[in-house]
Formats: sequence, C-alpha cells, structure tokens
Amino acid sequence: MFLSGCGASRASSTAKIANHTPDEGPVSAEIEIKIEDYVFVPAEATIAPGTRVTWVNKDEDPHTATSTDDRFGSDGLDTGDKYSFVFREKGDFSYYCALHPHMKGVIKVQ
Amino acid sequence: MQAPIKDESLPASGKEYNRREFLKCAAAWAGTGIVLTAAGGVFSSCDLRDPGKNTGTLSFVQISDTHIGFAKDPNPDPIATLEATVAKINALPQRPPFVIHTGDLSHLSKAEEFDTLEQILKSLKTEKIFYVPGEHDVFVDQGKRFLERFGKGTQGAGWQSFDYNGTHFVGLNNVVAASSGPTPGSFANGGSEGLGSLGRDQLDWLQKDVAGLSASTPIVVFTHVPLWSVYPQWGWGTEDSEQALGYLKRFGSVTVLNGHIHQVLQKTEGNVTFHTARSTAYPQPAPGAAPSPGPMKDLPADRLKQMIGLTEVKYVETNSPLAIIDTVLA
Repeated sequence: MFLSGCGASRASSTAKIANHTPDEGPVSAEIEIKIEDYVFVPAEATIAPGTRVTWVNKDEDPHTATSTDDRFGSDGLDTGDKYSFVFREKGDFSYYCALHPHMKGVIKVQ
Repeated sequence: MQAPIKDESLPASGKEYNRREFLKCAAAWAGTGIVLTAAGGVFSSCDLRDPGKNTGTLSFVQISDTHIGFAKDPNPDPIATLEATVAKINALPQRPPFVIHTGDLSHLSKAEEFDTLEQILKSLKTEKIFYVPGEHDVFVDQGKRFLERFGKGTQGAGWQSFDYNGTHFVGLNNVVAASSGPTPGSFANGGSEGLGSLGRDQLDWLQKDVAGLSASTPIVVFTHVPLWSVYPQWGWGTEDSEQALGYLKRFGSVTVLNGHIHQVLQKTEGNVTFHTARSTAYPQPAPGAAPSPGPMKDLPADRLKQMIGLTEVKYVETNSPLAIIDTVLA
C-alpha cells in the first residue's frame, strides 16, 4: 500500500478519514520518516515548503501518521506500508499514531 | 437461551470475600490450560487436562484479539486459528448460551476483515455474541464500521449491559478518546500515554447502570484494555479505571475480563478478579520482557498453539462457584 497526499489532500483510493482530491503539484524535495520500535525517526523534521514527507512503517505492529488538526492522516500502515504528504504551507504540524498515541512527531515547515 | 439455573449455584448473597492472593500461574500457562476455582473467596489453580469433566450450570466463553488481517510471524493464518477456536467451542460439553469477544476483531479496521470475522463466527454454536471494540477496530474511521456491524443494541460509543441468570454483565468500550489525548473528542485515541480510557459519559452511564442493583448481584465486566495497571509503559492499563471500579466496590463478586495483551494474567484485589485472555491470533511478550509489545515472532508452530486460545467462564454447581478456564489450541 502506498498512499500519497498534499496540502489538504490525500489519495482518494484509500483515504477513509477525509475526502480530498490528490495533490499533483510540484515537489521540491523529499524526506523519509521511519516508524521503528514505536518511535517516529526523526520525531522532529524541518523542511522547506513543497517537500514530500513519506512515512514508512518498519515495525511488526501497524501504526498511523495522524495530524492533530486533521490536516493529514494515513490509514493503518502495516509492516512496510508507506504514506506520503506534501507540505506547502509554513508552520509546525504535529502528528501522532492513532493506535499508540504516545508516539508523537512534528513537521516544521520553514 | 438456556433455561435459568438455580440461584444457589451462584456466589452466595451477601457473602464476604477475603482479600484474594495474586495468582502465580506461569507454570500452568505452558500446559493445556488453567482452571481457576473459588473456594472460601480464595482462588486456586491447577492444570486443565480434561475440560470435559468440568460441567458447570452456567458457562459462557470469551474470545479475544482475533486480529483478522494479521498475516505475519508467528501466525501467517489467524483465520485458521480462529476456525480452530470455533471448533473447540462447538465441541464443549456444555453449549455456551453466549460468547463474548473482547475486542481487536480486526487488525486494520478493514471492511473485508470484519466480513471474514463475521462469516467465521456464524458457525459458532451459541445464541448470541457480544462485542466490545479494541483500538484496532476503531482507529481508522472513528469506530463507524465497528458500531454499524457489531454495536447493535449498544449505547453511546458501544457500551452495554444485560442480565443473565442473576448475573449482571457490563460491556465497556475503553478505547474512546480521553480529554488528555492528542485529539480530545475523537474516537480511539485513548489517553495521553496510550492508556485505555472510558471517558466521562460512559462512567456516568456505568454509575447509573449499577445503582439499582443489590450488592449481592455478581458482576461481570468485559472490556478490551485491562482495567488494572498491568504495564503502563506499553499502554496496558486504563487511565480512568479507578472511577469505574469505585462504582463496583460495594458488590461482593466482580469479575473483569479483558484482552489486549495477548496472554493470560490474573490478579485479585478485594472482591474484584481481573483476568486477561489469550489472543486467538498471536502472543505478545510478558510485560517489559521485550523492547516493545509487538508480536512474539520466532515461535515454532507447536509452541504458537500453546500460547493462543480461548477462555471459558463457569459458575460451577459445587462449593466452588466461579471457574475461569483458559484453553489453548495445542
């Protein structure tokens, strides 16, 4: 499963939390955040606007990357599943795992 | 439903229980199961070699953590192990009037996972199945699919109560969001540290639900996450469970059944017995025994079947009123 989204968008085929159209705009950079041993690595990432962030679940247990303000959010990511989102606006965007809420992270767009 | 049984097979009205000792059942877990019986208010345990010899007058079965959709080590086929569990239940000498599923029906809340579970459990020889959700059943869609399919007749976010043969059963949803969680008001996010949470609305309902009951009424509570603090570092506890247990303190016999941690653990505190059930899919490590609570991966097939299974609860028609029997698949 590979999900992608952008801005206030998400892949329509698998999006279940919100119904947005996919973002097909330009991507200036890419980073990957691993989900490993119940931790987002790195938990804090600083990026430029237009960067696509991809979360990859390396754990045996499923996880999510869920925005605290419903701006973005993955489905349940099983082992090896990925979810992407392109950040276009500046700001700090907090997220967590909906299955394990003690797992927290933040994307800083500057 | 099964014909009513005589009241004397249930714990005596107004009976005062002594503080029950914590049970160290580890030696029995590796066997074919455990029988726990209450005598004089103190539980004792022994290996279960022949479940057929335990013929109670009221019995029901608990299954938990079926995780349909999981397909990795140590169990690439949880459908087969659930089917084997159903076969074991259908072969019990006493047909259970109902079965309780204490959550995590699915692994990823997918519609097809719920479909598969529903299909398999249709072959259970019982009158009714009661469900409470686990966090795996509600985390994607705020519990919408779960409640549509399995929440019929429940209240609020899926809580419920019913009476059977003089015993009051309460099903609680403790995977609702807490005010301390990252997104208060949403569903399934639990407390701030990943603990289970009941929430104010459900606690208020519980208080009213048991208010009119006699203190001698046996209470059975079933829920997903333990109502006692098993290992908070892994989220194995419920942050507002003390309030719920406070409402149940006056009752002479309270049994709390849950799942979530995929292993048998039991303790007693006052008149409350806490019992966690095995998963039908895969075991998880003992509290703190691994870096994280993920599935125990490296298990040979024969070992796996000794670590998954079902729980049968009986009110036995002897001087030992309550028996909790854990049966493994091997």
